[in-house]
Amino acid sequence: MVGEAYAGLVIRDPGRGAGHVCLAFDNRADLEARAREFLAAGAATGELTRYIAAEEPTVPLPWLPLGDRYPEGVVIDPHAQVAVYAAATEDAVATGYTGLRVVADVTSLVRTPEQRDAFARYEYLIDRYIPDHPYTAICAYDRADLGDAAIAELACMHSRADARVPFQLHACPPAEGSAALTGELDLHAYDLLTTTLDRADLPPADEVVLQASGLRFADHGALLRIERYADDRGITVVLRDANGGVKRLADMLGLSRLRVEAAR
Amino acid sequence: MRSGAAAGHEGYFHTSLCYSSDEELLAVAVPFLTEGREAGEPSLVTLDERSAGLVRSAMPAGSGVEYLAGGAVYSRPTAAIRSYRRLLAEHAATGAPQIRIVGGVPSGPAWARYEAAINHAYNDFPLWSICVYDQRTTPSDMLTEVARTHPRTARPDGTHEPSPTYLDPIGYLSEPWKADPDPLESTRPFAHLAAPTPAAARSAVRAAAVGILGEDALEDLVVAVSESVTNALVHGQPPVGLRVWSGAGRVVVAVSDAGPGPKDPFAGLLPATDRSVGGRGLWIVHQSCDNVTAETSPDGFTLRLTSGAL
Repeated sequence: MVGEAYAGLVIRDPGRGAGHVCLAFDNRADLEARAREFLAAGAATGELTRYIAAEEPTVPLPWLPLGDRYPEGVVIDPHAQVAVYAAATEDAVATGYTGLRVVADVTSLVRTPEQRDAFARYEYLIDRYIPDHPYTAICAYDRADLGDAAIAELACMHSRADARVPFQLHACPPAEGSAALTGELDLHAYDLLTTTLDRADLPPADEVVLQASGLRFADHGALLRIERYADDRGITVVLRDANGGVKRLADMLGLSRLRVEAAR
Repeated sequence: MRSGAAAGHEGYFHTSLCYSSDEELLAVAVPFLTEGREAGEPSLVTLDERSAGLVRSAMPAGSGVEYLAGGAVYSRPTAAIRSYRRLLAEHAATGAPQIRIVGGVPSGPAWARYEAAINHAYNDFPLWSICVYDQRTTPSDMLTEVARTHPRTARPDGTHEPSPTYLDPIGYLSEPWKADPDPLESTRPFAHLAAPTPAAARSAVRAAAVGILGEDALEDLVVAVSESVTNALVHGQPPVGLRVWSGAGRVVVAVSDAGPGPKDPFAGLLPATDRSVGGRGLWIVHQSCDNVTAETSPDGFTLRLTSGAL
């Protein structure tokens, strides 16, 4: 049965240019209203739609109970989770749908640091998978339950985040780099940056390229965090297509493991 | 073995020359450079175009003297120290017994502080420099600071005498900054933020500077302001405040906190490489905008950053 395994989410939505959206919600009515609108748009184009949540919705939605598959406190297996979604999407297409569109409230899967460690890695993996597959998804997180800091750990792994997050590390076309780093990096992002890089499972290589054309700002402390990440792994990180301010700052610092290439 | 007057001296031999005619400049510079080349020492000139031209035409062809573009080297004091230290390290690495430089810097309080700081910053190298000041064009208050920041004064006959008003760099840099407020500060600020985050400070500066500064200058000022606010949050004491003014082709930003300011007299002029990671904020600030001044008062510490038409 398609959809039973949907704990996270994935979305491909070329019309909006963002297939993997993170949503932090403040109350269930807002979430359900957003889900109705989002899923109705998918159904209109022939997509299979699913609303996955622990609680039964108060309005008509194609609900799958999250708890059927995921016991309270479970730590997901990131790679297995991606495989499940891939199979579900293939099933949907084989059944005659144009794709799969999901809204999932995964709050109960990310309450502890250990859960977030696994789930953030999954979010990173699925973000890379989405652009080439007929997925679209909103991953929803309850702000009152989790708090902004915990949500930020997950939101920053999405191509699009409707949540308070200083930066995002997300998928980009392989020709542009291993991932894209967008947003602004200052002292309020240092720890999140280190955590996110650790969780991201960037492909092993002597030189890891991050597409930085969307990186509006980085201060020197943030560049030193990236340098430390690279140094710990004996690799070089490249920030490609960075703005001139980031480039000049890096030149000043004389970093050995982080190379910043300015946009031409 | 170092040649000339600096023979036997360890580290930086820092001298000034205040001249009142082209002939006086050449009477010191030409023998200084010639002796340097005869001793096989790298001998460099970093002067404005006119003065460099005078020296070049007075030197014999093929003398081996290097002429560096003074303007580029001397854009900002902290950047000049960084460039020179790299240049000096390269020469020292080749085994040069001494490096000779005839140089000239702009006038103003920031450059007076530079002249004080380099007594320490270049003391790792066997450098002999003559910093030349044209008495016809240099303001008299700058000439006073030249005497206070150079341990020795060169005479046209090639001799040196100690400067009686010289003050060691720590003493000099611990004095209150000699800087007046920018006239824009008496106007209503474009933005006035209490307890800003670095992100809020960046937004305010972007809004104030767009259309006034070019893209590079704007991005660099945003770096300087973000680092200043971060520094105040991490090392200063609350409350932190930010005021931004724009007008007359420039942007002025004041970042204040209630603390006493940095203890290190070289803060902003030299990188704090021997300290904890992240101790380089002020050093970056000084390289990322056109002018920086600092002020301590009973209310706390204020850093004033300016970019654009000074």
